[in-house]
Amino acid sequence: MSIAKAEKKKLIKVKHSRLEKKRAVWGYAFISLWLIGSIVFFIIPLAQAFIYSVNSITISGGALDLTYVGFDNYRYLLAEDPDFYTDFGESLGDMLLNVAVIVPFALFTAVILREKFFGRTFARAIFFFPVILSSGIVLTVLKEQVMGGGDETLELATASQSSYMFEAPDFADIFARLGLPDQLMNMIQDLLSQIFDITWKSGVQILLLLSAVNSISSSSYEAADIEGATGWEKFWKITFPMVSPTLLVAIIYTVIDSFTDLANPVITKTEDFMTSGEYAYSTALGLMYFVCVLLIIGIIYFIINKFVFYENDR
Amino acid sequence: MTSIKEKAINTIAWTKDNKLKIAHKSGRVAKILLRALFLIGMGFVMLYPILFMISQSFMSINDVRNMAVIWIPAEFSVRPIQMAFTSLDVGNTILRTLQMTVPSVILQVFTCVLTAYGFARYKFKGGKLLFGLLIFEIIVPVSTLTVPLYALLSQMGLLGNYYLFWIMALFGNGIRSALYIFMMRQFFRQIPKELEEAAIIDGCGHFGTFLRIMVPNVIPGIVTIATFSTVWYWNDYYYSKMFVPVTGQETLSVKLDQITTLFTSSQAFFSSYYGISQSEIRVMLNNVISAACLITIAPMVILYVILQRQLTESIEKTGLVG
Repeated sequence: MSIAKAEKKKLIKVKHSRLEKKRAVWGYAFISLWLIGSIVFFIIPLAQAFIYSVNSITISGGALDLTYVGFDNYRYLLAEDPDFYTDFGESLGDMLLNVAVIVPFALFTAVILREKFFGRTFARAIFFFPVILSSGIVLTVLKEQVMGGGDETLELATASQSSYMFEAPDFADIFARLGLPDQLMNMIQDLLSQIFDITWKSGVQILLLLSAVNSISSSSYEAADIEGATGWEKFWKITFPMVSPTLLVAIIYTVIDSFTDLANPVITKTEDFMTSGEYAYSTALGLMYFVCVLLIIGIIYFIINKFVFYENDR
Repeated sequence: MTSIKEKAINTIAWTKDNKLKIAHKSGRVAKILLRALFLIGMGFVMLYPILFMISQSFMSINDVRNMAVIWIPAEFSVRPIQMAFTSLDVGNTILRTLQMTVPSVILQVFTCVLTAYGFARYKFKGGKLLFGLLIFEIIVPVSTLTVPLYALLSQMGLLGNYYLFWIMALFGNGIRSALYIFMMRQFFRQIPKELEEAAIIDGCGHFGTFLRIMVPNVIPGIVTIATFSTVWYWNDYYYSKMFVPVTGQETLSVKLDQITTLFTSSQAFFSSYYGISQSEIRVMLNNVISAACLITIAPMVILYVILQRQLTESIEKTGLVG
């Protein structure tokens, strides 16, 4: 009797592990296309980029000429490059500001757009414009060629000024009259000009959160209404936990978007080195930057994921 | 004694209730007002460039010269649009852009949904490591990989043709594929596990469960990434310029970048066509650029307006996550 039982148990175990193996095979099957593509279009080029970065590259007759120099590029980058740490610090600061402003703003907007009101379709469509415009070169063309007001003014304007869509010059006068110190005034003016830019950067996050907010079943809100919950309570007890997985995506997206933005100081540097023909140093800088960014994102993901509520993992 | 106490309590409760009601009502009005204010303000910020483009696109030459005309053209004219159409060679260019975008989007969404499901629901050896690889793909700056990718694609003989976009999309490495996989994974994770367990017990195979049970439940997610994907392929400039540097093969974005040159080269034609001097045509440059920008984004705006309605409808129909 007991032997039979043990046999049966063993059989179940074998069956179970077989089932698990079968599931694992299906898992591989589902990701296989992506895996093949990643090896060919990502891992191989990445390895190649690493090889570039430990060489010194000269171009002779259209072909790249590599000379092995070891980790010289990296050594120079970390020990001697005068700009790397300042640039990196700057992009870190930008990132923190972006996350702190964009994510709450996007969530707020998504919650507002969830409610039924007159002209909701129109309002939702409007918030998609930034995605359409800023993903391409339309905004760049518009800013540089039309709004920039011709070539002369473009040359006069400093790089940081021309990167803003809108300027807030009138505010400068107001603050000048208030007698604030120059530095503070510049900061405020900067922030005001940035408000437009930041609003423009939040299109993707708004859409992400909107679709998350939309997929919360209305029955949970109805139940909360019956219990007499206030809007505030409903937000923190229902909306917030339910959208938290998407909120994590939105945060990570914002971080990455900020770090890989073409206006980011480090990215600008890599592009500059690339155009001036210093491929090796450019790739070394790019890879080093990537490792730093990866670390930061890892930390953020690790911390925030602890607070994320997954309905299935209860 | 008790009755007085009860009465007092009742009165207090009544006034409290009434006060609450009043507070509720005024709160509601304030809420509607604040919401309207917020939306109108944001709407202005978001619409500003679009309005600017529209206003510029319909100005006549006199409006451009007239300093009093800032926003609303006094003489409505479609010449800037006409000139932009000719400069961009819109018919052929849009056809080419569609040829590059549509297959890429379909293939990209297909692979991303498949991969995301694998990551969301299956445990396999090296799964965490591969997920790490996915995160790598999101983070590595595009510019770092451009040169080696260029070398690789030229070895494979894929350069100079839009097939390469299709192939990379199919193999989950199109423009921002990794990000979409990550997004879709989150969508899949929100669906109750009981749903697919029931399907498997009912005899649906793994792929059947995926196709018939899981996919219908993540339609909003699919529409979301499909929308993003379409916009990014349509607007792509960097990759098209880098990997398909062939004259006569430019997409809309690449042409838009060259608009000033294109406009200048057909200046003589416009001059004879409209019967005005070339320098007068030249005055319209900014308006033509604006019109070209408008033409580039218009299909995306229309697409979104259509998709947006479908998105909300599909959610209401499926009664998702109910």
